[in-house]
Amino acid sequence: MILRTVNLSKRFGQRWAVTDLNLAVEPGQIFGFLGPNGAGKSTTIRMLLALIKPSRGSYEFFGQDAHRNSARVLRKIGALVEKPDFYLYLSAARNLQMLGELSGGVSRQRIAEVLEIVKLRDRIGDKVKNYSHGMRQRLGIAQAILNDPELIILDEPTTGLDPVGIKEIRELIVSLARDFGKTIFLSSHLLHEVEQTCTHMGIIDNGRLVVQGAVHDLLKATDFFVTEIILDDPERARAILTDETRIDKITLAENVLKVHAPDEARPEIIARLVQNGLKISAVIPRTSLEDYYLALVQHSDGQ
Amino acid sequence: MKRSLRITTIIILTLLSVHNLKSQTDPRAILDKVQAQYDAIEDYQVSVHLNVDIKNFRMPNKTMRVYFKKPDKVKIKTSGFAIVPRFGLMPTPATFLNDSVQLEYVRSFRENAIAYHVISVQPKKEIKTSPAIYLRVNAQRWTIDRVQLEYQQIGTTEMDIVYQNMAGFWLPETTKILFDLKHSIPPVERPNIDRPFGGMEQYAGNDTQPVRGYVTITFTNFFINKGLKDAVFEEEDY
Amino acid sequence: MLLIIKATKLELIKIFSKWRTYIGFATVAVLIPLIMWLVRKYGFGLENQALRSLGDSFEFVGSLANGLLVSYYLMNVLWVHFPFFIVLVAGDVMASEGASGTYRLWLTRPIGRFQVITSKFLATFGYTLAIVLFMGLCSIGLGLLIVGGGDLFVFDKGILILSQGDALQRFLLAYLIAAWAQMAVAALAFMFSTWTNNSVGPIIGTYAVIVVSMILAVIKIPALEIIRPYLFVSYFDVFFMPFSDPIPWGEIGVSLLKLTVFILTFFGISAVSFLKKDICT
Repeated sequence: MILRTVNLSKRFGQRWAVTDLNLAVEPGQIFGFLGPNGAGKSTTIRMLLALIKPSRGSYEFFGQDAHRNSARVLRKIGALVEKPDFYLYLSAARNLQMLGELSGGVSRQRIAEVLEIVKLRDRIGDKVKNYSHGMRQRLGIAQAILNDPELIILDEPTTGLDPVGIKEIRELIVSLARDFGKTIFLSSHLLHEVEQTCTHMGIIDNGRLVVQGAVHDLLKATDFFVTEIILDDPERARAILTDETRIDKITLAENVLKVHAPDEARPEIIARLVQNGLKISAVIPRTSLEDYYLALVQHSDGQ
Repeated sequence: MKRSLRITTIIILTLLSVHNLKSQTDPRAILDKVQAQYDAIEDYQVSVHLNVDIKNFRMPNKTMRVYFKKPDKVKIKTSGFAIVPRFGLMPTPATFLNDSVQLEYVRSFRENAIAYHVISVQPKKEIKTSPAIYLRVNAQRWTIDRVQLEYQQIGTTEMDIVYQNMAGFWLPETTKILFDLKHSIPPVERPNIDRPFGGMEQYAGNDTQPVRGYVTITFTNFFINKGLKDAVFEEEDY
Repeated sequence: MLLIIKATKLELIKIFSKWRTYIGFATVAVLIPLIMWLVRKYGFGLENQALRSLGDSFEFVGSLANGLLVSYYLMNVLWVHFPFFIVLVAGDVMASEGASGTYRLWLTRPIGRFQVITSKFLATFGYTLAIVLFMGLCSIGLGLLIVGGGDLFVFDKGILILSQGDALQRFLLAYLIAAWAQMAVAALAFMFSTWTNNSVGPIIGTYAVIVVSMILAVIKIPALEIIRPYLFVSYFDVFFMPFSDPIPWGEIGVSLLKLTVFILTFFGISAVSFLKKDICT
C-alpha cells in the first residue's frame, strides 16, 4: 500500500476538522479525495505532508511510519498544496532549481523537461510574478513531479483554471499515471473532474470518510446510472417511456435522450424503443456521480 | 722692578677679569655667544625619536624627521600624529628672542666644576598665557642646558638637554622634559553602555588632578650643512 | 549537515534576491562617502577640544582628523541606528514565508523543520555579517581614501593614540565583534518573525525593544540595575573594547559569551515555536 491512514484526526480548538480517517491507496491508482468545501480535504493533505500535526492517529507511506521517516518518505512524494505560491522575485527555473536542491539535486535538463511537460518551457527564465494563475498552477505541478516521485499529492489542482487549462491538467494527471506509473492522490470538490480522472475515490464530509473504493464499483453498486440514447425522434421516445416504472428520470438534450435507470433495465428499454419504430444510432451508458455524491453527503449530514 | 711689574700685572688681570665678569652678566651678550655657535649652521636635518609618558595620555613612540634651513624654515615630517614640546627641538636663543621680550640676568653658579648663567626671558607686557622662561647657559661651551617654562594657569615645564659634539657643533643628543601640570587630561573612558557616545562633557568645568609627566626626545642621524633644497619645505605632509 | 549547508545557500539566495536587503547597503554606500567628504572639506574639531590642555606646552604635528577617526566615531551608529537594517531583513526571513505561502513549498520537500529554521538562521547571520563588514569596509576604506590615513585618537582612560597599522587591526577585530553583537538583534527579530506572517510586527517590535532597552540600560536609576544584566544591549559596548590598550580579552570574551547566550536563547525559542507550528497558510 502506498498510503494508509489509521484513525487520522485533527482538532482545532473545540472543533474536529477530521475524525478517524482511514484511507487506503494502492500503487498505480488515481485516487480522488472528494468532499464539499470545509469537509477536511486540505486539512487531511496537510497532515499527510507534515504541515499540520495530527491530534491523533497515524499514517504511513510506502509501508513506513511517515512521522519517524519523514525525510525518507518525502523524497518519494511530490505535492501541490492549494494555490501554488512560489518566490515571485525569482524565475521559474530558479524556483525549481532551489526546490530540487532540497530533494537531492536536479539537473537543468530535468528542469527543462518538466517545464516542457507542463508547457512552460518558453517562459523558463521569466520571474514568477509575471505568470498568470494558470501558469503558476502548471508550475506547481512541475515542482510536484520535479524529482520523479512515486506518489503525487495534488490539492485542488485545477482551481482557478479555465476549461482549456482544466482539460490540460486532467490529461496530464492521467498521463502521469498511465504512462509514467505514478500514483496520484488528488483532492477536489469538482465531481466532473474526479469522475473523468480518477480510478478510485474517497468521499469526506464534515471530517469523516463516508465511502471509499473504485469509482466504477461504487457507482455500480448504486442505482445512479444514466444511459444516453441518440435517436431520430427523442420526443416520441420520451413519450413512449413515460410509464416505464424502472426509469427514475428522463431528460432531453438536443438529440440525446438521457435515461436514469438501473443497468439491468437498459436492454428492455432499448427493445421497447426499437419495437416502436424508433431508429437508434447510439446507446451510451454513463454513471451519475453527482447524484451519488449528493445522496451520500446528504445522508451523512442527516446522520 | 720685577716685583712692581708682577703687582701691576696682577692688578691689570684682576681689573680685566672684573670687567669680564661684568660683561658676562649681560644676558644679551651671553645669548649672542650661544647663538654664535649656531650661526654657522645653514641647514640641518635630524631624526627625532619621541617617547611620551604623561598620565591619561598614551601615544606610540614616534620618529620624526626634522629639517631646518636658515633663517627660519622648519619642516617636521612624521607619519600620523605627534606632539612636540614647544621649544623642545632645538632651543637656540633665536627661539626665545624677539622684540616683545626682555632679558634679565638672574644669577650665576657652579655645578660639577662648570659655570652656569641663568637668564630670564619675560614678555614686555604682562600676558597671562605667556610663560616666564628661565635659561641655564653652560658658560664653558655656550649651550643652553636647561629651559624652564612657568605658565601661570598651566604649570611648569623643565627641559634638560644633553649635547653631543658633531663636526664641531654642540648639538642635542637627548632632551628630557619634565611636566608639572596643574590639570591633567581627564580619564575619559571609552564609549560604554553608561555613556554610549563617550565624550568629555562630563569633565567640563571640573578640576582634574595635577600631573607630572615626561617626554624624552632622542636625536640621531644629524646632517649639517648638506645644502637642503627649498622644495623639502614645500612638500605635503604625509 | 550537507543539506543544511545547501539550504543555507538557498536561503542566502532568497535574502539577496529581495530589494529590501539592499536598503542597508545602499544607505551605507551613500552616507559614508558623503560624511567623509564633508569632514575632508570642513574638518572634525573634536580632537582639538580633547587636547586643549596640552596645547600650551606642545605643538601638534600632523592631524588626528583623519579617516580613521571618522570611522571610529561612525561606529556609534551601531548602538541604535544601524540595527534598523538588521531587523528589516531578519524580521522578514520567517514571516515572509508565511505571508507568501511558500512554507508549503519548502516543507513538503525532504527537509526537516529544524534544518529549515537552522538554515534560515545561518543565512540571517550571513546577511548580518555581510552588512556589518560592508559598513566597516566602506567607513575605513573610504575614510582612508577621502580623508586620509594617520594615527587614531580614541578615549580610553584618557587619551590613547594608536598608530595606523595597530588601529586597522583593531578595527577588523571590532567589526567582527560588532557583527556578533548585531546578531543578537537579528536573533530577536528572527524570533518575532517566527511567530507571525507579517514582517512589520517583528521589525517594529524588535526596534522598540532595542530603544527601550537602551533607555533602561542608560538611565541612572539604582532600581534598574537589577534588570541591566538581562538586557542584551548592556553588552553592546563590546565592539569598542578592541580600542583599549591593552585589549581586555577577558572582558571581550565574557561579553561575547553573554551575547551568545541571548542569541542561542532567541534561536531556541524560534526553533521550538517553528517545530510545533501548524502551517495553515
